[in-house]
Amino acid sequence: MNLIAEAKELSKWYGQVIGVNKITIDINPGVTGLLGPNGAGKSTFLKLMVGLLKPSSGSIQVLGMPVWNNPDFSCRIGYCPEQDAFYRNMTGVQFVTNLALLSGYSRYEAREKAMKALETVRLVDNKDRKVGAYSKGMRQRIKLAQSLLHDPELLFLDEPLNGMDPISRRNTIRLVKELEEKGKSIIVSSHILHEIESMTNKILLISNGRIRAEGDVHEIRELIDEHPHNVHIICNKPRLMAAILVEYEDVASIRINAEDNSLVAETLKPDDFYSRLPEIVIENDIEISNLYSPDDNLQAVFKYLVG
Amino acid sequence: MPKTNFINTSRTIFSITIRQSIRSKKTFFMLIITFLPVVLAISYRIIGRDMEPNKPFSRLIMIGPENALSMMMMFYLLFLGLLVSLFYGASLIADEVDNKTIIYLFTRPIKKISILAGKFAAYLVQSLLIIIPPILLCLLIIIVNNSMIIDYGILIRSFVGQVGVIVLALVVYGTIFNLLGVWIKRPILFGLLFAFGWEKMLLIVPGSIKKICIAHYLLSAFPRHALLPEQNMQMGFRRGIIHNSSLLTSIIVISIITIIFFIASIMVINRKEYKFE
Repeated sequence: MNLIAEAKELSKWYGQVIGVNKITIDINPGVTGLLGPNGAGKSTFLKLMVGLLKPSSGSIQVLGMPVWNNPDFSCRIGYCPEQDAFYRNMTGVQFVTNLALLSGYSRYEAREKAMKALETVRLVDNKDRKVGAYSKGMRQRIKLAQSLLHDPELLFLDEPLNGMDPISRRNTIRLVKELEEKGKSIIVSSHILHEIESMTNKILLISNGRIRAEGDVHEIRELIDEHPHNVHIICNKPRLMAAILVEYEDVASIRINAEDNSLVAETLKPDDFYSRLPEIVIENDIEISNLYSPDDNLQAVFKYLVG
Repeated sequence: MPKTNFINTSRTIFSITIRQSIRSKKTFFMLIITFLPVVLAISYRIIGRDMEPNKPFSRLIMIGPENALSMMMMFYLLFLGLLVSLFYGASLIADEVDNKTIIYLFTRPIKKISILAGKFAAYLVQSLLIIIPPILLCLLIIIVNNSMIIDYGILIRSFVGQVGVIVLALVVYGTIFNLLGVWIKRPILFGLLFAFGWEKMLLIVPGSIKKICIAHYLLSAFPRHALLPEQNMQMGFRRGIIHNSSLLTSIIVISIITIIFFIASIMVINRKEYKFE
């Protein structure tokens, strides 16, 4: 089986700060989850793999090719960055079409590819709105669309579910699975285990710039479940949402912050919690503008793993 | 996937860049600044309309329309052109890096030289769009129905030459500030030091040291017979501040500087790693 990525003693420093530290790893085709707390080095590792950063030492090859300044490599990959960066004066369709033009398509093909990608991430209805006016979840989806438009064989998704509403999350997870079935390889990062778990069983645990463990997700999951999982929700009806959520046994506590219409729910069963959210939202006509999980419980697991 | 080509890529980068900057606050601010000489031109015509030797401002109107226009062109060359090239040239790549949108460009199958070429073309077009209309307006205000103009032919010829030198200035300063933007983190600060420190200080130093500043070659190429009559030229020579390199030498030097700085920008952008934290 051909490796999709091969890192040898790969290190990256930002001055005195270590981004990644002597990573040696082979990544096989399929979906691989890169799991680690914020600041662990996930994004740095991804940027090294897509050729946005140069290694300070060691080497990296992806799809058997050098990655730095290599347009032949860039046409085989798609990258969905973590950064919330856009040409804000552009509409969604202009943004994706322009990037399709830069992938070498003719104007007609670019428009077609852009529409297809927008359809995939369910943004067609909002294609003519300015990207600057999109919600966080929509911006995440447009980033995903630009990474998919040229049908790359390898996708790098940096925290793709961050800020997405429950329905978009479910669709994105489904999309990742569909792409895997089509034979695409995907490397996806997150600081939330259950997100990664919903997309793949293969994970790389990264912390302090080092790969701490690799392999099956279930062993890690058992460790994680010992620690309560916090979910931060910003919505238009936080009190109603809190009243509904508190009825469930796995929800250990709920805190409401009236200032920003947010609530933090502490759950012992994150999978159950996330799977029931779409239903609650639809039935009670609640609009969620942001949903994320601080990585407190993951930090606890890493403390345990690192010792 | 289809292969990208240089022309199409540069054209797309060009249109992205123009679209982003045309409606920006920076462009609005620049338009206000570049239209200031138009106000001067209007004032000149209004005050000159009923000029009498013993009235206030009458000394000002002793400057003929040819010289008044030349002074405005000089202002565009040495101040406004510099300012426009600094704020647009330095931000071509730096803005993309600051906004982190360069990530989208660097992960496409395109050569970085095509990014620079498209961006530089966009810079030239937008800086010309900002500079040329007020210049033409100044010309119109000064020449229309003006009985003080001695020879329209000479005035227009020197005006065209002056506009040509301003365009040259936008090109050469654009490449220099573009290199700063590609290379260092605070290009505007260093650009200001270069534009209003190095360029202005060396310009007034007597002797041949001024030949290491670009403004010397631009002023040498600047048609100024209307601005500096014979006696002023002689006075200038005595002070050693006259810019007397030949037109050909000036154009060659400016072209070489432009090419060197553009190549340097390509080399830097190819090697430099931008961090997006």
